[in-house]
Amino acid sequence: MKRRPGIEANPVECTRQEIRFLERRLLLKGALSVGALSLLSGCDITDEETVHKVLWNMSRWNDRVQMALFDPRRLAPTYAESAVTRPFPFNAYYRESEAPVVDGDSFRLELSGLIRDRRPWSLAELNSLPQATQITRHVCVEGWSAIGKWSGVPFRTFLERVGADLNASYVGFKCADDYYTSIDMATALHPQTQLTLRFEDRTLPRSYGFPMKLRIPTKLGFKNPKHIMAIYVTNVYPGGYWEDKGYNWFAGL
Amino acid sequence: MLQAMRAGVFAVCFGLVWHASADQARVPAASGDAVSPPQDTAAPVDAGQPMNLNEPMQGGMKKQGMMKYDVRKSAEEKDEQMKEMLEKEAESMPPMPAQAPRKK
Repeated sequence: MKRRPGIEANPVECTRQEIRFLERRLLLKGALSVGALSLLSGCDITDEETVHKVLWNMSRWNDRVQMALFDPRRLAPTYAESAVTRPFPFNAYYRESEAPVVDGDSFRLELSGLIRDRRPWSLAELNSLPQATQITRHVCVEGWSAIGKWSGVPFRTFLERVGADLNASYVGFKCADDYYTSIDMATALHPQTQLTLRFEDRTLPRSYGFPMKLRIPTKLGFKNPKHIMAIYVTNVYPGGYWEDKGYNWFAGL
Repeated sequence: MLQAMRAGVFAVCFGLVWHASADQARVPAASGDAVSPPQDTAAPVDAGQPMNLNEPMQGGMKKQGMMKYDVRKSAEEKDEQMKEMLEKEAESMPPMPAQAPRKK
């Protein structure tokens, strides 16, 4: 074995140091193997429960790493109005004609969990809150993206207004099309996360999520729920439809 | 040894983040889309039709054999799981101080 520079001339000390280097190398090799093994989680290895459990725990750990790396002040790129994709693609687990029909007059947004003022909100009340507009890119996990113009209430403003516990861990959403998902509080408070009520300066069309959707330009498309009917704040991990089926929960960009 | 453990943790983190970015976020370049969006992009339809729950899901996220009613079933199960805890959490919240009535 080649002697590393700086190793003591004393043979006993020398051997100890050589062993330490060996241990480091072995540990690094082992760690890299675990990292490489994690790549296999994209493959359909087996349906065995234990494997699923290991991969699930790995994905949750992945979420924690992404949460640690998330910079709540870093903004997603914005674009000029000329860059808006027309027509903006429709995407859901159902056909466009099957998008839910919600009566805007009788609609009331339900609130629950760690929120002080849980009175329901009408669309008129939501429209009276401060509004903002963004032109951002929607990125789908399927591999396509499109730029859209969305307007609505900054989600942070809404959460503050209803007295949500901003130190809670999660915000969850229930939708008229039965879809459900949840996000971390840091993303909920991000300046570009928006409770969207309009698309291209018009009332949000049914295909794009009427009466409201959550627009999160820092996350993949499936974390942007449409047709939101209820919002809750909680410290219990709520998961989501696709997330419970194995898609990554944090899904950051 | 401590340094080696730190390096190990870093390597595992790197592997996982790499995996996540490769598997989840196949983000197209800003200059153009690598993959075409779904073709079902006609102008928004105003008159809806009820969703047929007893047929396979649409879209690219589904796995083989997934039906539309799976979403409703999962949503009901999730509601059941979360209900009690959300009620407890709601009870733990102090009342809201008096505020001006909402504008309409």
